[in-house]
Amino acid sequence: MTDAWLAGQRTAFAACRDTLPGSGTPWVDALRAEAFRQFEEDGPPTARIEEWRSGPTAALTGQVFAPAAPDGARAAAVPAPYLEGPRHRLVFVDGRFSRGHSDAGEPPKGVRLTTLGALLAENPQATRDLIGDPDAFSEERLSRVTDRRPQALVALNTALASDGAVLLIEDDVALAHPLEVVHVTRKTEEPRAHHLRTLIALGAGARAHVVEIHAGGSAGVWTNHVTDIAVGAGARLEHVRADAGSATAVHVNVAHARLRASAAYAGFVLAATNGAVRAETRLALEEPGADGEVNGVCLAKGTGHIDALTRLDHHAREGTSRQLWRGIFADTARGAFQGRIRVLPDASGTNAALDNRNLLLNAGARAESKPELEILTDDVACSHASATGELDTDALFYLRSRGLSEQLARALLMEAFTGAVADRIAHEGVREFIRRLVDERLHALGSATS
Amino acid sequence: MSEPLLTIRNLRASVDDKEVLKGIDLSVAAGEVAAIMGPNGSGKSTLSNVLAGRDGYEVTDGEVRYDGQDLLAMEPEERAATGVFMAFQYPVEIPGVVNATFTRTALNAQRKARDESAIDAIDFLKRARATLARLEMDEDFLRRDVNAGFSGGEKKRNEIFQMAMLEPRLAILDETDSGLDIDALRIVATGVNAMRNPERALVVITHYQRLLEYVVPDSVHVLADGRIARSGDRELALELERTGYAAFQPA
Ligand SMILES: Nc1ncnc2c1ncn2[C@@H]1O[C@H](COP(=O)(O)OP(=O)(O)OP(=O)(O)O)[C@@H](O)[C@H]1O
Ligand SMILES: [Mg+2]
Repeated sequence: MTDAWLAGQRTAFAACRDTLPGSGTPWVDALRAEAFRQFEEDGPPTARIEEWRSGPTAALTGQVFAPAAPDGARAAAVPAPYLEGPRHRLVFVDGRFSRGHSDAGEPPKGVRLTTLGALLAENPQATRDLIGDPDAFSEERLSRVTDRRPQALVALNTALASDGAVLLIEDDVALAHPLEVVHVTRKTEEPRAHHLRTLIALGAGARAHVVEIHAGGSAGVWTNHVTDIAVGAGARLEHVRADAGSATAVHVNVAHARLRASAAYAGFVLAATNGAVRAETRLALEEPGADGEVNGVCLAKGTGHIDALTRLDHHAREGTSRQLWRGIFADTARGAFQGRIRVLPDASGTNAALDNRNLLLNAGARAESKPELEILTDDVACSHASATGELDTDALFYLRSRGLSEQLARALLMEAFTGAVADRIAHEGVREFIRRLVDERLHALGSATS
Repeated sequence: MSEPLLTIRNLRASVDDKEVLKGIDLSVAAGEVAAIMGPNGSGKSTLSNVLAGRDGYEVTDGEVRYDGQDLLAMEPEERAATGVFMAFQYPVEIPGVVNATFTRTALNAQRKARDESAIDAIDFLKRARATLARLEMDEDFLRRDVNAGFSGGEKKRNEIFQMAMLEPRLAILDETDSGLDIDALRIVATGVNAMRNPERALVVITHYQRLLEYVVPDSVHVLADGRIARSGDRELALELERTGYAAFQPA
């Protein structure tokens, strides 16, 4: 299958490279060609690669996904805005910007809110300058920052990215209202891939809340979404990623953030599926005093598979990081959490904590938790906790003895289990939205099993 | 005379293949306060749990009628909705579930099961505050997670608070007096007495005469080695205080 899969990607790249945004611009063409070469060299993910040992490799390479061609003719069911209250909204349908569904509002001065396609079409040379470091697109650049092991899907994304949101904020500017980015994928008969690329760069002291939501989709859809993030000195980004769509798709989601001095990145991931999800978060705390928070809720049922991976690299002194992950797995679903904290030799005074707990609702469900601490200096405080268990039968009986139905009692306990994670979201409107979405998804999980 | 609210006949139950209840016979009428006393391990909590419907107990013989219904055939939540309440000997901590939310959800789940309309948040809060005041409990209890980090005595009081809010017709209080200081005991007893009425039956499990000085029982039963070994009036409790359970221990 692997050969056919690779061949499929080659055909896809050959077929669409001339239609991708920025095509014809030499530096873009060169970047894409180099990224594709890198992808071919690394090959598709297999369980032989340590980071992909528990990944959904079979779901990914079991069918040949072709990139979706632009097809404006078919109507898409675009959901109403998720966030209540003032917001900026960008909508992408099948990996391409949909102006009609978007409502960018009026971002304040010093905020550039646009799309990858628009940026490259308007003025590719300026884009290069704006991005400042075109290498930031490249796999090589990502590898240098975090990890030398192959990230073939990021390279493939660089080669094939069809569009994505771009948020660039100048120094000391705050985006007061959250940015809602919605990626809608239409149902498909043929296996289809969508390669999305989001770029977020906050200047020193800037502030923003960004919510990226995946909606729509169906079995046969693969989304490969990469979000590149740079957080300037003293800046703060809250970055929420959530599955709100079809639970049967295959979804790969990689966020990669570089944090300057005293920058803060607060990330939240909601993975909810009975298909396959791979959610990666890679933070590089590059300068002193940076703060990284990566929290997540993973909910899978049926034959769903969620593989959550975090890589937090503390490069400089006095950095702090926290990770809080909760997973609930029903039926024969499986979950894996791999969380690595690396404290490099210059990162004295680091304080890092990781806490992962999983609930199994059925005997056939499985969860694996693999925290890894790699500490290369003294004077650090690192803690990690992980546990996997079942719903507390004493608590269930206590609730039922007071009159709650078994289903309600289970739902309440599951909400309690995941609630602490959602509570950490700082923006109230975003937090409320995520709580609602988690509850909705828990409800689906509860009714599947009780 | 009409049928007692609760009638237990020859109830036998096992845990892990060990017989714990060995033929219980007991009836409690509406309006009655029945005290159950007995040595540690004699089966008092097992009896409460079987009545409340906890999993893990195998009823091997006998029957339990409650208000004309076959209690043992009902799910725990159905029992609650028809008015059965058990105050746990060891109330369970449920971090992440707020006490107010929990109590209101329980109240409304029961009301729904009885085809009654839901109580809205404001009415609930009014009632909850008044009840807390009567039990001399801080309003903070409402905002805290269910029993999480509560002291032993606070957990017991929270049980009484729930009972007062849910207004059951049959309340089984499993050692609600254990772990209470003297003032708390008086307050809890006042709360229990306030529940006494001609429609309601209370089963009070206790090791101590002290509670029964406040909550004067109509009947006292000694549960020993899985059976009701003796029944009497409040004098029996006083006698037990003097003599202990030696006479009831298996030879
Ligand atoms: N889940 C269980 N597993 C094993 N044994 C049990 C279980 N529950 C009860 N038992 C046993 O059944 C017997 C009766 O226990 P029970 O808790 O009903 O006693 P009790 O009368 O309430 O005692 P106490 O006064 O100490 O509260 C004891 O021997 C106890 O060990
Ligand atoms: Mg007991």
